Amino acid sequence: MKSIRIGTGAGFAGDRIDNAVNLALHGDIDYLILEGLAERTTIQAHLERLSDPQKGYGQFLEERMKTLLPICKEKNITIITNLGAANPNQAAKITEEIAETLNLQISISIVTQPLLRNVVQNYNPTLWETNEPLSMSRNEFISADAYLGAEEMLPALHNRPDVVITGRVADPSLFLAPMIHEFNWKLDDWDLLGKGTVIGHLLECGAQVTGGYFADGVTKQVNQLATVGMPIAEISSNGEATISKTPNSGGEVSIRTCKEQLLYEVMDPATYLTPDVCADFSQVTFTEVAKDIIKVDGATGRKRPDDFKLTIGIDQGFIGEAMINYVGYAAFERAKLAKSIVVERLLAHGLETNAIHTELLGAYQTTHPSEVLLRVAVKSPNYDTVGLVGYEVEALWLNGPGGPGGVRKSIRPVLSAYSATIPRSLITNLREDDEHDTTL
Amino acid sequence: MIPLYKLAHARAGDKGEHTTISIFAYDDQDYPILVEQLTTQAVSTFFADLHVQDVERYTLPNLSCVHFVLYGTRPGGVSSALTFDAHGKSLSWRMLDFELKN
Repeated sequence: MKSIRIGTGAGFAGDRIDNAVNLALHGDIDYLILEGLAERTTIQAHLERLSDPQKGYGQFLEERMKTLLPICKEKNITIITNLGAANPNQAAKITEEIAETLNLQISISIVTQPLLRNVVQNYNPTLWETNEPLSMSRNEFISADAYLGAEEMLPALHNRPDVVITGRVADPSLFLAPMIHEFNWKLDDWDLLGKGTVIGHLLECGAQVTGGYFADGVTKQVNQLATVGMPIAEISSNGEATISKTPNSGGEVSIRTCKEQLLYEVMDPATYLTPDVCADFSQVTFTEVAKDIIKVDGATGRKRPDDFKLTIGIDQGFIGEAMINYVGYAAFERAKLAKSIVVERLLAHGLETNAIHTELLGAYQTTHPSEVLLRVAVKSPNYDTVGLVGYEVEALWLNGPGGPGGVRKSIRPVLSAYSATIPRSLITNLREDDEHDTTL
Repeated sequence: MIPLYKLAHARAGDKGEHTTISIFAYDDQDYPILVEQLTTQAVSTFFADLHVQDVERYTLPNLSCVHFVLYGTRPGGVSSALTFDAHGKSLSWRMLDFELKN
């Protein structure tokens, strides 16, 4: 029976590049998936593209391609990545240029979606988080992306290129698409698609299934986390699969690590919605085949959703935050005193009580912490308003309680992602070269 | 009283404005204790400071797992959350302090 091996080279934008290199060198894989888009990063990418048409691709694309292209070309590994972000065309161009400088002949295909801002604005969906139509949002609507699925990726996998670059695609679909391509699975074989989707879900967060995001240093000991391996799935054409990791790496693949990742970010385990299928994880079981090799059974699926899920980017202004610490005698009391001073000062500046967020880090469930970090944060569309947080916390040095430690302050833009749905037909009927957007 | 961490391991995830917490018995024989004592009411009370809108529970006997969805832990989602732990990943580790009756 035919089988393929898929490995995760990145579970998020900032993931360790050397982990991906080791996996590509030693993992004996056919496909290497680089997942690098969080909600905020997609919106950020759209903003960059709006101000510069040559920008808007994902973070660390160049670094990853420079290190991985030579290895993957030599080992006949296809790289699939969503680091196209808001500009897969430009990401492909950059990748091609890098290949040229490395004297590599590579084939690249892309999966794009039209800029959806105007289409979504006209459709005016109800946002899940506010339960109100998009038009009622008081803040600036920046971008919209549909979570495309494996079906939309299949044309790009034709003839199995060296690199497939996508924009926003559902994470498990990045893994399912090569399975469908290799095994010719039908797009309505919900059972097989559910089996492929559980594998994608187990792998999409990288080391979270191989011993990362797991150890507690006491009961749950994991060896050599500094060199934790990345996951490899070996899938057969009938949907049977095992999970293992980079050979000779740290970490573990065990029933317990698989259990934790199976339910990560899952709401109803019997109803895990992706663009490809309504997957059912409720009957999944794990069996240890050998050390660090786990067999996955029991996933299935039902008919996929009729709509695409949308991620909608809205500009909410800025968050200003600052932290200051107190150590030793009366640390808790001094931190509380500092907090009351900052709150009084911010209220005098005109901020509302419920706009000021404070935390005493280090004081969780203890009344006598010997070190406390006071943290204050405010969100506002107004840059100067949020800047008051750093201003008032820093002023505690001379004006507040005795013996403050370090102070750190920062301001960052807030790009919020909201969710909605849109009928598939409204997206798929748009022509690929339709640019439905102009500048904001 | 036994703290939950003696019997189980746990992981938290974020999903929009909600938090998922999965609790897994180390020993399958302890699973019935988790099912009996980790009720939605008990979890809701445990996290009273979060003012969650609702708590839903799913049980997965094949995995000796009790799985919770806490609704409304971060209005507005992760990217605009003001807490230091915006994703809420520490919530499953807080829950491991839950006191189980003998």
